[in-house]
Amino acid sequence: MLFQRNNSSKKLRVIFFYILYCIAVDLISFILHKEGHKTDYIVSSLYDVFTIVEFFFFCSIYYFIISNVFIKGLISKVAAIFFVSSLIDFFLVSDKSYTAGLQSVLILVMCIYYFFEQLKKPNSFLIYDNFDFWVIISFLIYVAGTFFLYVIATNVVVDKEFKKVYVIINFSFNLLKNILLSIAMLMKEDKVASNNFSRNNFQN
Amino acid sequence: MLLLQINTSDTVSTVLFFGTLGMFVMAIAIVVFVIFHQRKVIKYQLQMKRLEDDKQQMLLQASIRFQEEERQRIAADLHDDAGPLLATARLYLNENLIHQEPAIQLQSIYNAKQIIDDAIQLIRNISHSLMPPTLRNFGLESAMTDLFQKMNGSGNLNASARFHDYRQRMKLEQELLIFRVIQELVTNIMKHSNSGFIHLTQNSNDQNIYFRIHHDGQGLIQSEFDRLNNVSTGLGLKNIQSRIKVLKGTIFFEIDASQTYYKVTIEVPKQPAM
Repeated sequence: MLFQRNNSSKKLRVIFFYILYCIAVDLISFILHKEGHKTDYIVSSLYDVFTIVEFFFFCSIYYFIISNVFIKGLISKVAAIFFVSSLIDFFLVSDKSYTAGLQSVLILVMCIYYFFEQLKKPNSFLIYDNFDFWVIISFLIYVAGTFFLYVIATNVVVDKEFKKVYVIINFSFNLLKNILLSIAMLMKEDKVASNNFSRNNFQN
Repeated sequence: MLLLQINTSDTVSTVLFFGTLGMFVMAIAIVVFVIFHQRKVIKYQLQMKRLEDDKQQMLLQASIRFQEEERQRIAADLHDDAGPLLATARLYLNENLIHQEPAIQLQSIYNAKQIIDDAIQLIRNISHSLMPPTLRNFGLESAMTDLFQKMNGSGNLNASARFHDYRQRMKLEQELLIFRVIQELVTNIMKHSNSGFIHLTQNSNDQNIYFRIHHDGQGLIQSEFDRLNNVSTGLGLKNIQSRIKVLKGTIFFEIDASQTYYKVTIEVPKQPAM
């Protein structure tokens, strides 16, 4: 699956590497947390880098999912602008939550555009039988759920109490995202082909 | 609640709790809306498809029924008219004829010849009703003019046909279908409308060819045609509809603005004969 070259396997591959990356970052941050306050800056930087890389993973998946050529072109431009603004934020601005907020807003807009495109398309199959739908809702719910957390989390590694809240919310939505991504990965491509059956038996 | 119990600054906790909850609910609401909206759209599409299938089925049944009726009519013509004629001719030409006197033989042969001529004429009429020879040999314009002249000849109806732009003939199958549609429309007008005149005009542009029938009797408008087309009774209108569909054309029934004349307009894409 990971070495196939068609569009759906490319999406699966990106998701697979994204999940691997998430696990790696969580593990590293867990190890660094154990080291105490001397690694706080590294953890903070790790999360900042994670936000940027996560956005690029999402853009790659979104690029394969979306069908509008204009939006495909726009994604690369948005990603480039986001990268530049993140670098500015990372090196020049003390308020690190700005990048996370921007990332969340961009992903939310992209997810909503995906739904808008789906509603416009004369699809004859149910949207939740689609692999892309589960990928998009996993990101939508994760980003919507952690939006305020990331925006507020200016001193996540300093304030111990806030860190607890951060861990609970982040962990919950991360878990939900991974469950939804697992459902997406379990969605077989031939499910779309068999949709006629479900469509013809559609009741109510 | 768990979040609120954690001892952080109250304002931040409240914003975080309600903000996160609000965003989560919003995300779920978007997803639910999309799913239900799409289900509604699919349901509507299926309903439309089902209606279209039913209509197709009705048209197909009407077409089959029409074919069967046409076959029965031909069978009845052959059986009731041609059969007895040929049987009578056979009687005149039986084996005993050679034992008859020459005058009787001549009379019998003459009678048999007359009967066979009648049978030939009858079969020719059946053949013409299936495919008008004028249409095959001279095209739609001549066939329509011929039909309207025959109607005019009855004296009860003022019928006229005028072709403005029919320099190139269409394919024979297309001409036959148009001929049948107009024939059916004219028959209906004569049967049901009590009109004093029927006028057919033809026009065309680069892509399409148009036929318009005017009459001053009691006619149909589009909504009535659609309604009658969707009821299970009535074969003629369904045949018109199915033939128009085969032609990939449209038919439109309307009444004149002055409420005096009814108009039927047929639009058919041009398919010139090679």
